[in-house]
Amino acid sequence: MPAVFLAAALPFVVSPVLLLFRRPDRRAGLLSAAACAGAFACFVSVALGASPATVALPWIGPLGLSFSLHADALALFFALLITGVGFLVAAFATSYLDSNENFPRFFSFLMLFTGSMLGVVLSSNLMALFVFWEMTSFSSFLLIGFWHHRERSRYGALKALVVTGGGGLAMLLGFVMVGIVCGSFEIAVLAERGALLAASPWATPAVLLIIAGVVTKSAQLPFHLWLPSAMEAPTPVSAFLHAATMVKAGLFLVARLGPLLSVVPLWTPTLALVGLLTMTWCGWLALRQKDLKALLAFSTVSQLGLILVLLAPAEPDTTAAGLLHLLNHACFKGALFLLVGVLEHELHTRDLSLMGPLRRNMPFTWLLIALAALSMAGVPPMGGFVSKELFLDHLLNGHPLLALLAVAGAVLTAAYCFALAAGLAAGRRPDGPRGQDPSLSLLLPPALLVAATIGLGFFPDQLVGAPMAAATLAATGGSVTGHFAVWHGVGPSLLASAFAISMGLALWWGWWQKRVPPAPTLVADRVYDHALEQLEAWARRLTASYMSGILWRYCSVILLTVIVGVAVVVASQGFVMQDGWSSRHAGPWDLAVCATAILAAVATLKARTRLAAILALGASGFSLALLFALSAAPDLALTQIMVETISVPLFLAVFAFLPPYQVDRVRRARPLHALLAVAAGLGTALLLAASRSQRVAEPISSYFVDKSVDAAGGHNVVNVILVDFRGLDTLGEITVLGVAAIACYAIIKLLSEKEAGR
Amino acid sequence: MHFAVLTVVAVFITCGVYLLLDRTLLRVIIGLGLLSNGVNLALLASGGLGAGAAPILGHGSAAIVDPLPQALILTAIVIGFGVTALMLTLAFASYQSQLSDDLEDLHGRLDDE
Repeated sequence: MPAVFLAAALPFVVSPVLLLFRRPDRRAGLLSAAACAGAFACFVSVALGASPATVALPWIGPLGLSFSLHADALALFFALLITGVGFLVAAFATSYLDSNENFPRFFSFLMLFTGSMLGVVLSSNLMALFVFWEMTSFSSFLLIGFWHHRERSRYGALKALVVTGGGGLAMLLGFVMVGIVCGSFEIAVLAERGALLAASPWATPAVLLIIAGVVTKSAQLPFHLWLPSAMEAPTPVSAFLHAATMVKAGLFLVARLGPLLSVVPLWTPTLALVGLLTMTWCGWLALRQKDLKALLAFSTVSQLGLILVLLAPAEPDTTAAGLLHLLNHACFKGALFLLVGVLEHELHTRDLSLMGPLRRNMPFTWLLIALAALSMAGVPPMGGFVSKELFLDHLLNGHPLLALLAVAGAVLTAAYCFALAAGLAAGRRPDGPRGQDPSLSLLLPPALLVAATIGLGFFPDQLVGAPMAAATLAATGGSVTGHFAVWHGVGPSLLASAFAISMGLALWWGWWQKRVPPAPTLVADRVYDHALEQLEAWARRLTASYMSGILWRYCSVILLTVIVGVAVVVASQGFVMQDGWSSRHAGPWDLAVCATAILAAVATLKARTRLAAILALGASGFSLALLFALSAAPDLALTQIMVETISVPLFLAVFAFLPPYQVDRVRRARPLHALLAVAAGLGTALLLAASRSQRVAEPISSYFVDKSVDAAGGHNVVNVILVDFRGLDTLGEITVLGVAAIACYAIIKLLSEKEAGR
Repeated sequence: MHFAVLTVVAVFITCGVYLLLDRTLLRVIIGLGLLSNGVNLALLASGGLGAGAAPILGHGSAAIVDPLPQALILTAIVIGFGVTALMLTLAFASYQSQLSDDLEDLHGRLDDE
């Protein structure tokens, strides 16, 4: 297997190993960082070197599924992003988490996520991709709920799982449709069969379902609700999963499947519109947050919308711009989350309106926040400016209404970025808490990310021009025409940028500064809560409707199901009633015993006293024993006699402790019961009668008879079957008896202890 | 012979099911016993009920009956006994603590506690 896939498996290997560490051991974090660094180094060497590596392991043969991975430039771009940010976040978290936290568990979950995320980007089979996709949702659930003693954490974790997991299932359905229409689940094969998909009536539902997966995972409208709630996760998790990587899985899927799915006319406009609306609306929501993490969460959603707009057309130039902004966003947003984590750690609050002036007390932290925020605002010469220029350029050539939305989004982005950078500098409260700059180990990871986004501003083409072109080629199959540059000359996009920045400044200065913005409640949140409440209520009502707690109702339902089921099969298949019986002639003894048995059974129904009922049951058992004896089954006869001999006294022993025997308790459903009973009895007999003529295979009994003496050395074939051929069954039987005996003993003992205690 | 045996099976199962649906706990247990007797007999009948000697080898060359249903029934008889014993103990315990053997009356009592 190529080294690149072994490197991708490294986090999965490390994840269980980490659990062996003791609780307060920070080395768990160092090992995780080392695993990420190792994988990163391997990906770098692969990216610089040979042709794309592929591996396909057989998976589910009958379905034509293979577990195939493919490391092309697009996959490697994401893999480098994941392991690079993963390394910084792991290093940061190692010194960030309090020493009493459960380090092994945290880093084990983190590595589980890293491995799953690498799996998503490296998969070249839709089903493998889906499995890893859901694994990222699952590990995200574990990480959001890491502080599971907090109710908000559990709420956020569940919400993220419900939304992204539900979207994942919709996506699976879409994958299955695409796979069946195109005849393969291999992405490479699918890429050539776009025409098949375009011609199929299933194309529209399939694309809509896959879009559902994309927008839930990347928290686009109207599924943006889960990301703010996911902010209950420890801050390194927010930086890694909910800013830099997992939320970009949806974007990755758009880049990966865009060329195939954009043959369906619905794909590009839907995604672009959703992205644009999300960018603008969530920018507005971000501007109104006081909680720094909530602000960053909404800003993330908004920025993801921006990238989605760029990736939706699946054309080389926009895709390259989208990937560049994705990289930029991972840098500045990852840094911002880590720095907000530092603030929370130092100031013990995340509320923007409660913080004291930072510029004096925490100059380095503040400087890094300001630089990252300026990059996000798209201020030249930061990295964010380069990619935002390309975005505006793309949109200004389109419909004027869309261009207006894009510019509005850019204005709002600039406004909340200024609020973030400048608002923290002076602080809303001069007397608010003052911290100190943390140690270098906490500042270095975000500083590296900020340096990266600045570098991307000055030398975008030199730094990432070639890999972006390669990734774009791998994603779209087309070459990029332009190249990245910080200065494009004066054009509409530069004017739009200047307008957005100045309007953003005005909005921040004129509106945000004057009043503390009211934090809005999300409509989507209320819908989600209400839907969940209703679901639970309905589930409870539904369960209560059939879980009556009354035995005869349960039994009636089971019997009715069996009877109706058998009747339907018989009615549809026809009932062959040939006489396949070659039974012996019934002698007078046979008939007498059968008559006794029938009388005994009817007597159990009719008995007015308990004693009579028990004796009638005993009589039916003993007549059965006689029938066994007459049918050449001496072992059965002996066993039956023994069991009846013990059972009847047992019944009589309980006798004394029970209330008067009630035969005629009122039952409304008595006719139904009689009907069910007759149907069950008659049906069994009829099926049995027909069964003799319906043999489809030779009975295996002759094997037992032949081998009994040779193989097992016994002459009594029934005994040999029980203790030898089917010895394990008999062991099970003995176990059941033993468990029943222990249970009887325990019940009686508990009861007598309770009596004694009373 | 098979007609007679199938009649017995039908009657056993009919009576057993009817008692199983009763409200009185002891009648439910009796019904269960009757039901398992009926099923055991049905298993025996599925072997064909032909003429033949008991399935014990080494007594001449006479044809023997099918041993497999007998082995299955033997297991079933013993398990059935275990079930009956446990049910009786539960009935005893339930009456001791709840002072009722009416299943509809017992319904919901544990929830209320």
